[in-house]
Amino acid sequence: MASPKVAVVGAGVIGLSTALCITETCPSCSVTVLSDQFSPNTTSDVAAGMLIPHTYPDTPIHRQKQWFKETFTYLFAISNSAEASEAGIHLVSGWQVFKSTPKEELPFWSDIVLGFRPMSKAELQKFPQHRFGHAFTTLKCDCPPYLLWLEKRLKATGTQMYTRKVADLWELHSEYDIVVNCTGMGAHQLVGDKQLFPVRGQVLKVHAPWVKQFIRDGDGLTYIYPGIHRVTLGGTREEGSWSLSPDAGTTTDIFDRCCSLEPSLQGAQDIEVKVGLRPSRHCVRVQSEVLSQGGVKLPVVHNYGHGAGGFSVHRGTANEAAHLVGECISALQGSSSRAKL
Amino acid sequence: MRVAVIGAGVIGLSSALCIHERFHGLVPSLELEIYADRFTPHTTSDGAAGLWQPYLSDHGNLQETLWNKETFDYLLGHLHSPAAEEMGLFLISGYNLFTEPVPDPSWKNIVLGFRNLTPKELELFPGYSYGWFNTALMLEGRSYLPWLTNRLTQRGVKFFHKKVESFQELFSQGVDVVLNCSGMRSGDLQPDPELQPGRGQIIKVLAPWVKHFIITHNLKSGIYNSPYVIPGSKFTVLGGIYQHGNWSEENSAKDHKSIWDSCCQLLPALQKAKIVEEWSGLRPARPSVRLERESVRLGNLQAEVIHNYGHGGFGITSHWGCAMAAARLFGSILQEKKQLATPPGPRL
Repeated sequence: MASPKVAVVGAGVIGLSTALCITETCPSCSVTVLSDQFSPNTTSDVAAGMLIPHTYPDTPIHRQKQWFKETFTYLFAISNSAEASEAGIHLVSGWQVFKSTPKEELPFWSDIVLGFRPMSKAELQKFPQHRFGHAFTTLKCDCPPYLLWLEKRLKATGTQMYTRKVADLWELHSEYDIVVNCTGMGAHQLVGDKQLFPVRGQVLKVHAPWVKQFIRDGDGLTYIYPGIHRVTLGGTREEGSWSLSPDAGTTTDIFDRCCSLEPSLQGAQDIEVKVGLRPSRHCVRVQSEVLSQGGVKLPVVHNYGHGAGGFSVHRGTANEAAHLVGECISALQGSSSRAKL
Repeated sequence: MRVAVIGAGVIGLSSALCIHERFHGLVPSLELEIYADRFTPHTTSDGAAGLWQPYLSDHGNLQETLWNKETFDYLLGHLHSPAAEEMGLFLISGYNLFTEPVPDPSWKNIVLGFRNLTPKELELFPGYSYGWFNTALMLEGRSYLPWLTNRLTQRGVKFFHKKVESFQELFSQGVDVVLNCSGMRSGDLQPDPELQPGRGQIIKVLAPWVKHFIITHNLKSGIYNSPYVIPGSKFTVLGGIYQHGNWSEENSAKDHKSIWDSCCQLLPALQKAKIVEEWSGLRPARPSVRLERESVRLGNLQAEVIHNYGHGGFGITSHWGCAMAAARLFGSILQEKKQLATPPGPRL
């Protein structure tokens, strides 16, 4: 197989980063990205893009840690380069505060982010309703810039990108040798994965350029994440809700909760409301599968179900998915040479 | 009781406000006037980035450390007030970088979360092997000075756009007490060979992805003669010039190149930043701040001058502590003139 044809379905952070990893590990592959949405209309564009991992209950911790570490290392290098502003990657420091002391002493990722330590009493005075906290420095991927930068890197490798709604993976079997499924929430329909469920998140993106630090309530519901031009205020975690329409009552509630953590937000301007459905699963599905229909086989590599943690582990899962694509190619090359015999 | 403040930078305006806040209720005849030839946005304070950070060492000047602490605590107390945004006040974290280990600074317990940098953090800054991380405050002059001006105007304080040539000039008009907050040009009013310019130059850029201050130190070249990057609410300030004895307020192409090259080396992402403005200013440097009373005889009258100048590169950092100290000196003047039964207190 001279030039394996790989279709990556999905153009959010997972689809684009997986496509890029494939071009890196398999330079002879011809990669095409197919998606019904591209930036700025993907779920990734709604997210703040903070590198603070979500813990998946059914994925082994060492694997989650490896994914996070690879992602952090990759982005750290970009943040420290001349491309940082174009890629939308920047360091940000801040605090995660808890109303009651958390059960775990240290999150699994505490030695990967920078300068992780408990907050001092003086720092906690800023948060009278909270009794405990962590201070650390991490990275943020601003979207659209990061997705646009990934698209640019992909185009430079010759990767084609098309707007196309794929209703069935089998549509692709005649044009492509391998399909990579990075459809996020779309996998519910596309591959009938009932373990995948939406967790609706509503956020506000506001103009408040004096906010230089992130603040996150340990309950994960209230957070303030300063991006390059806008600050993301969140949020909600509504399991099972498929609604993409902003809710006015929720907007007020988010704003009030964030103002109680950071009173200066009262002066925020230009409030934009966005909604995204976190494509959630108890474990991220990074797995290959060979679909079979009427004697025809279609190798598929899945990389979806990142829920609230997509940005935090994207590069790690993209690397793993690209590795699986490599294995599929070897298998195909093996069977085609057997066919020759 | 007529009080004239000379100078409308951060020192003049804050001293005026502090005095008016404490004494206008106790001294009904108090009339406060501010005289300056430069007002915001043309003062030295307007050019400063506005980061609260003292020098590395207080050289045993504990008084100044106390003024710095009082200023920090005062500002921290205002952080959650509705006025904070208008004041240009916000929290900011960042890095101080060194090429060798140094003792902890006098202000390590004043700022929040002071700690040493981890090896991984130092990887961000090749060439630097030691450093600090802490959370401090920004107080942007371009917002703070107008805020102070508004507070003063609301209180009926009068402003005069005028270059005062001598203390005498004001006393002969009937002013009782002069507050000399004339910063760099104090020498024009009363010679002071200890007051020297510490010339600085800065480049203002658009780099909103920078969320931390980064201050490098070269112990041989001295304070602020090593690149620094300080993100404000709109622009990021790039600097690293401190020229003792240089009176020029013109931008120098050589200094521009030095700032630009060294800051881009420190933060490669800055290469893509758009330059918006360039500015030079003179830090009113002195071995120690001159904050003291001086009695001046004019015929059979005794006139009082309170000096409050010479804050070098830490004017914003020390301003409120100094304003309170100036107010205490004013209180003792009032007591002597029997304008006050006892000084208000115990603590001003």
